[in-house]
Amino acid sequence: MMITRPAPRRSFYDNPFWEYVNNHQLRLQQCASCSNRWYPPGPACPACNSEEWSWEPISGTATLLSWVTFARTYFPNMPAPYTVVACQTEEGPILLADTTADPASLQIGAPMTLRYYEAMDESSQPMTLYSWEPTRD
Amino acid sequence: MSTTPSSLIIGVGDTDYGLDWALCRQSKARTDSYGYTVTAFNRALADAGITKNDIDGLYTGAPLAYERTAEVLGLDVRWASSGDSAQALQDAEAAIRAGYAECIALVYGNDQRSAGTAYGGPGASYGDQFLSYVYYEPWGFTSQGALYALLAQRYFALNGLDERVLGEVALAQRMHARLNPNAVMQAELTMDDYLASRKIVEPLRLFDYTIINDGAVVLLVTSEEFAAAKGLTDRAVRLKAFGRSDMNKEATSLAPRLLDFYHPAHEEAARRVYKDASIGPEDISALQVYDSFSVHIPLMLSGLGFTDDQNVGHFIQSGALRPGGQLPTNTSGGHLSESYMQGWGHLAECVRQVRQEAGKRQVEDARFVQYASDVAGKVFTVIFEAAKERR
Repeated sequence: MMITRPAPRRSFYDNPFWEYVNNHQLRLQQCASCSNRWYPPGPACPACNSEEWSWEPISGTATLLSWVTFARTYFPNMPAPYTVVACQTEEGPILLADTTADPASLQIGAPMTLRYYEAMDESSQPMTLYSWEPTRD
Repeated sequence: MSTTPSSLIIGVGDTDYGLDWALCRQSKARTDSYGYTVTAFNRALADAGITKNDIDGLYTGAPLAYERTAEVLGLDVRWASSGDSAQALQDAEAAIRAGYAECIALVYGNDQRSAGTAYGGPGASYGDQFLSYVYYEPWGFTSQGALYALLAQRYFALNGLDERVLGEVALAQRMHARLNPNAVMQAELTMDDYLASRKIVEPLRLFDYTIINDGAVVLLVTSEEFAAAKGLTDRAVRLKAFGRSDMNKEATSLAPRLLDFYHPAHEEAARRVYKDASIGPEDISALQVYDSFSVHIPLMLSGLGFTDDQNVGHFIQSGALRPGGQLPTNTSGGHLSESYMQGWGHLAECVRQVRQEAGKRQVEDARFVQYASDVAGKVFTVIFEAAKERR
């Protein structure tokens, strides 16, 4: 059975981000002027305020910064427990996502790898999400 | 240019937190946000010994709408604004200094418990102002508690801190609350109780969370001239110095929380407030810290320079925060044990401590009392002292 998740908030600049994710690509904006990368998507480079940028793929590898395990259920379709991690991508920006890893096995600084999975939102629309999983040697 | 403020607080009022908590628990709330505000406003006027005709400025805290607040209180003023507890005193000081108003009522009222304000899950509150509150919903990441749990996990791991450090914060604040008849939580709390309490978002537990409650707080702020003309200087409390520093860059991706623990902003705000007050952390008699979650306390103690990240666990576990301790902290019980009044109650507590009117929880010879908040990375701090030197 397909899992159901809350739909992402989509600002003007989130739309292309999620369209790429639906094609199993994670792209972040990159500044044409200073090469800075940022997240969440937005209208300009927060470092130099340049409005010239392009969507460029990221490597999908990251370092684990922290994690939490929800013991309380907040969304009817997402019964606790589940674990969410914060990872710093190789490119710099921090991206949060869930993980299937046992939280007892997680260690700050551990290498993590992006993985895509399929879900649907509360209106039964299909969408792709991503998780962070411990990198296997 | 000096940023030292000159205005005075001449009155405070609040509501009956324990009584209203009990009524809310029975789904019998006695009024709404505006009704609580009226109660606190009338008490503040009586406390100051002025009438509402003396008020010529109004400042409203969320969720109060300005026009309706003024209508309910029957106030026609010549200056008004709105903001949170971290912004209110700076704004009031600026308005008084500019001559826009001479006697300002700062009013906060909230029926968040009886109205069922959601601090997580579908339709979480304040997501329009703080994107991180709602941005990670597809992964089930929601609630301010989760943001602080994520921060706590990393901060505690990097600094080798034990969960009992947060337990001691909850215990110390409960000890203060038990000396405050207006605090919601009056039962004794032991470390075993703390460790046995249910997890909400791990690593945080029930007793690491604020007490969501209905209520209101009102502060009356005036110029020195107004207070002197009305003969109100004896009990007036001076805003001695402010410190403020924000961290907004990469806020939604949580970099200021996870990589910096807000410390650069803590340190900058501390540098300013102690410089302008010409004192240091060692001179502070009592500290009030915005504590929507217990983990705010170690972060702030370290950030302001009372201790550092390596020693903050030892500092807290020494009993420093307790009644009679080296640095009595959140002496009303704070958000964890008195009532979640979004920082406004902490400001009222500072005034009561400086006036030596805090009853059984009074900190002996409280001369300089400090408030500090780091909500969403906006660090604000203020030091209070008596307007008139005591003999």
